[in-house]
Amino acid sequence: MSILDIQHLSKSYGGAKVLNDASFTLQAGEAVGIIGDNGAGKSTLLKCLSGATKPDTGNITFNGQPLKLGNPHAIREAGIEMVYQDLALCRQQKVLTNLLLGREITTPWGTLNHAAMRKLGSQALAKLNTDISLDDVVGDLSGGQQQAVAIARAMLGNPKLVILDEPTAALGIKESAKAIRFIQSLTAQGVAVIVVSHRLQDVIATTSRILLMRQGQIAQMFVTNNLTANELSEAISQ
Amino acid sequence: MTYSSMFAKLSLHQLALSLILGLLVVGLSFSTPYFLTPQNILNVLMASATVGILAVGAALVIGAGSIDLSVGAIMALAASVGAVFGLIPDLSGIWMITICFATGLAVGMANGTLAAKTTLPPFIITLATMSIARGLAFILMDGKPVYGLPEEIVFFGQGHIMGIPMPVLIFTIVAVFGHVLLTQTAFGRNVTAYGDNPAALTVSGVNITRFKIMLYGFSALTAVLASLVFMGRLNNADPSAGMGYELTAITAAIMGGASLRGGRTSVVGAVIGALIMGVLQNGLNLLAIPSFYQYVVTGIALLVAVSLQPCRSHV
Repeated sequence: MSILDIQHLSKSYGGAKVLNDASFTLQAGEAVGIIGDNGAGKSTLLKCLSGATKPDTGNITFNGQPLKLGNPHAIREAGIEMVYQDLALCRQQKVLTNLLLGREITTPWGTLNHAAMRKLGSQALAKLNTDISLDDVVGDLSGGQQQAVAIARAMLGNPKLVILDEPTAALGIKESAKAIRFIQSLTAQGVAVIVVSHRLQDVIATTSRILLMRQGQIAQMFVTNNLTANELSEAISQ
Repeated sequence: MTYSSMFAKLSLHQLALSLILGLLVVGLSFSTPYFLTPQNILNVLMASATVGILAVGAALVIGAGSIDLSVGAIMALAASVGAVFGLIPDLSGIWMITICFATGLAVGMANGTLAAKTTLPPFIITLATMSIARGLAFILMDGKPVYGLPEEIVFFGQGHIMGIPMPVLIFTIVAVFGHVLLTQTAFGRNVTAYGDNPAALTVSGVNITRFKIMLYGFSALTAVLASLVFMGRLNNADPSAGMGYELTAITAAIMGGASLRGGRTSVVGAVIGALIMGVLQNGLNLLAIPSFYQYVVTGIALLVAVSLQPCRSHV
């Protein structure tokens, strides 16, 4: 059953058509990669999916319901979470504060329910099997650990789809491996994943299908079994 | 410096502040026999109350990476509008107080709305509202203070509850409320989170407009309470009230550990900062040092406070 159905999405800025009749579907629990050269339309597609931008035409059906396009709050409520490239973390604050930012649990008197928040935070971190403590300050964590915090925060909304924008772009080899493991754990929990990345090897490692975007369209589809980064690289440069 | 060691340094910073306050008290006790008397300690607390109340609001605003320069002018405008309505026969003091709160909150909410809905920096917004509010206060009062206020307002500055002077009591309540608001509520978490990374709070689904209106609204609320204390103590409504107080309050908050970059602040620190400023001013008065030197001391205290702050490293 498809959880996400994108049909004929188009978006123009001025005279430039940056998204041109893009269509694709995503199955529940499936991980799909989106690749393409700069200007291929990846970012605009992400913005349409997160609600940051409203497409000119087309529609998106999510979990059987039409999405309210251009409304980030409604899209999040529907069960789509976004992990941004810069992770959108507060680096001076503790892990717990970051995990529950905007989702704080309060007592009937309006004060923070610390016990309930710690319990929820611990559960979120446990799902990713990390050694991060709720009391760690995010700025002191490694890049991979910060990625884990961002993913754990996304998972707290019990999403059905998590979109990751360049999840390994700022990470070294060792930290990328950690981040890949965290992304793989999402699909293991039945969550659909979209990974947008320039790091082709990492996209192959985390997804089962890859969509190549060119001139605002979905130009080609690859199954990642036995696929190499070179093949993808050649396809992009064609 | 790691972020966790920065937290440790913040606690250390507050400890150092307490030590500085203690040293000041000891030093002044030996310098003048008039300092360590019950009446003078009460004077210090009373004098610190106005700036201290403002410093609590400043601590929150600065923690959110913003600044509110309008609080001194809000003090004056609230007093002036209240005084104008106070001329209406048979209007009770309670109504006058309500009008003061409504006036202050209106300016605070305007600050918050402008900060949320425009791209203007908070410095410019509150500089503008400071000028507008101060100007309106002078226009309303024709530049002159009004003497003889209703007893309900005088009570704010001269009244006592269980032997505790009202300014000290209000300062304490505002400080406790501000501390709880900052450390024990979702709003408080949002304050430091926004100061740390505004984008993080935005994508977390928090209503930024409502957040900013609440933030500047709280700051304005502290300004109105400070204004009531100020009016009550002097038994007048003065359009020049609170002039320059915003800088002393900001100094106290920064001295207390509020980072101008946002993301880190402390109400407890701001309270200690306000007390240090109060003790300094009182000490200078007792030592018969001309009041003009107090501006110099305030400036030096600000420089020392900023240079003592735990800093983030640039990685």
